[in-house]
Amino acid sequence: MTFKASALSWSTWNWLSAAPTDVGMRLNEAFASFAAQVNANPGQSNPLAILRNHASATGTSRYGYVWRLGHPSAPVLLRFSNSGNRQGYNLSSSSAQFQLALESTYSNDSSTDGYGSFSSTLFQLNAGLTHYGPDGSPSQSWGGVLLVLMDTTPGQEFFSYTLGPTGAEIYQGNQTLVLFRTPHSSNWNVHVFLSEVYGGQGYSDNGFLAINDSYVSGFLSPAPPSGNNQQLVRGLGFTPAVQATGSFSANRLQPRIQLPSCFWLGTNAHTDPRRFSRTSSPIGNGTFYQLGAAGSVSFSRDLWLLLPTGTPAAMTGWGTVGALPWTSISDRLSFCPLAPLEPLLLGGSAQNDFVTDWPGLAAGAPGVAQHPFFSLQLQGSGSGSGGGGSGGGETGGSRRPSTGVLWPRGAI
Amino acid sequence: MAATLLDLSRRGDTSAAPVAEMAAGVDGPLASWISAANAQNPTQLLTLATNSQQADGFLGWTTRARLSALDNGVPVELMSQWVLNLSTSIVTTHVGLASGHAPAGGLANHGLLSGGRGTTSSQVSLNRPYPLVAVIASSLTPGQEFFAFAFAQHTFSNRQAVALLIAKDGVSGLWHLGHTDMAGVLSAVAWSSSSARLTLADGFRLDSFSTTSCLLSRPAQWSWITPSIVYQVPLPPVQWLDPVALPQDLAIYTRTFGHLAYFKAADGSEWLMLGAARLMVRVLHPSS
Repeated sequence: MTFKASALSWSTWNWLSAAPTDVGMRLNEAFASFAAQVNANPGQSNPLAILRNHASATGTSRYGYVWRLGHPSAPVLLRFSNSGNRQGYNLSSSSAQFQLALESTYSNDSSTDGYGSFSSTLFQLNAGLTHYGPDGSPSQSWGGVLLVLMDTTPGQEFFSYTLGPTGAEIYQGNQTLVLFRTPHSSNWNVHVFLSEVYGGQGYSDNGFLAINDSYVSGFLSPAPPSGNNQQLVRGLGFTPAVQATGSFSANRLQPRIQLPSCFWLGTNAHTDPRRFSRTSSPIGNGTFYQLGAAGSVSFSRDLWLLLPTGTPAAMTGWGTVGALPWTSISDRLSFCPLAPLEPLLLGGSAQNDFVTDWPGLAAGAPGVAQHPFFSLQLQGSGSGSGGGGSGGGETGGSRRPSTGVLWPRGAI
Repeated sequence: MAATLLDLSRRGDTSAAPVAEMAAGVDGPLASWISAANAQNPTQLLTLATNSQQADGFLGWTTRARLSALDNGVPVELMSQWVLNLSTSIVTTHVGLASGHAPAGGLANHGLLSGGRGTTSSQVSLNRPYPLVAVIASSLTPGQEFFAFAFAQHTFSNRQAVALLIAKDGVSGLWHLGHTDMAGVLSAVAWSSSSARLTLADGFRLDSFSTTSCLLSRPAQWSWITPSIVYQVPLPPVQWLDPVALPQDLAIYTRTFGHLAYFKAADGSEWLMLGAARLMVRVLHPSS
């Protein structure tokens, strides 16, 4: 089996530690293991490497990682680090950041507390991380978890981690990162999901898609459930805005970029926010785990994981996902998988071009003459030839009677 | 594979009852298609309970689908109604379990369906000479069967409908029923076998894309209605609802209220929009 789900928990969470047994270096261990495996996959042109980890820190309050997402011509770096020991009510969204940048913009030196610096970035994302270490500010201590998923199957490799404090702290910041490949992306796609339980802070959900040898931001598609309907769906992907050329440009049969199928996204809003919940699948095909927290407002979004019954064992030296301190729930949620999605058919670069697309407003006489279906209803000869190319089922000339305008009808 | 089309369009000023004539034109093709569909699906049974001419003062269709799926040992029966009151112009739409049908409950011979989901808020224009742009699209490709009837009286958002949609679910192989009223309000009913539960939909799963481009996505699939639990006590249990995928000849487009909009896709296929609900039907397939 190439899929593994592994987890660890700590009774005291300490992000600002490079000890081999603390969260930072255990995350490093997991990613190093994944990188070694996928780099050995045949035909791998996007090898992964670790440039920095918790042991790289030269200061006392900045810890994180710099990972290299390899590419033959445009390798990029993903950096995540915090910038202090904020926690509890001091937590701010800007107390930690993700940065995605071309490797060519990176100063690989001891700047930024040992993490190097970028002259420019492709994307930058605030990702307030809860510290909860013994030296945190304000002083308080909570537990936390690290959950790692990986699949090393060639062509659909993915690595995901979820960091989150546990316990009743309402200011907790949770994050899930998913690095995933699809057959039609040019590098590792990046999905960052952040959730907070504190009322009104909601969530952030970002996708950065590797297409056309570059990165663009995407939005979830089909649109995930929203509002108060407590619904989670499987099978979503990301779609970018229309591109000038290449993938996702106009007039294409476009394969989708889809998240690994173990992930479920939707809404889970309630006046009593829940976090790190667990529930058995109502149809007995596994167990659902909540990766983070649900906000208390109707626009919040929730990310869940379905582990099928019989999911293989964790990595050596790691615990199972089921062994984490989940809160069991049995109500409220509806799990609604999507049927498998087919490639998108993208139209012209502009609507109303009357070549690929006849909208209703083309129903005036000239538009009707050009319409592959309406034109068949016109009286007289020669009107059924369509204006913009091969119309549906046309055989040339009028197949309508010479008297009466819309009658009799007939199959086309 | 492409759908079969039948054009039922007509002028609105050459007859005293163009809507009724159009509706009567649906009855025959619908009965023929149901007969053929039943012949190739012997474990399920579609029934046209009441057609457009069998209820005095009303016009429309009440259809019933007996599925091969069982609920407590009894075959599940779904029902759909799309009925126009010829004196008030009001359209009653409803989908649900056939057990919610009261044969003498109203709408003359149609009876009245309750439970499930429906509307009574939209209207057809009976007293204006609007032309009717109407089409039946259907397929009998095994596993991908469907029958759809859609019409529009004008381009306003309150005079377009998919009055009939009977379709096979590509996932379960079960029939499901749906329609829109005259204002684009969509209703569909299906059966979720893995949880033995009725599912109701009020829309499609929609792909979003940059507004400067058209987008066609498949399979068309329903977005289920799930409880708004914040306001519900006691909280309902966790549930699982199976997906329903519409046949391959149907797809979702980025337009709304664009009856008979037309799209030529990059793979050579061509698509015609039905009614108000973004539903498109494939009328030309490059490989067939």
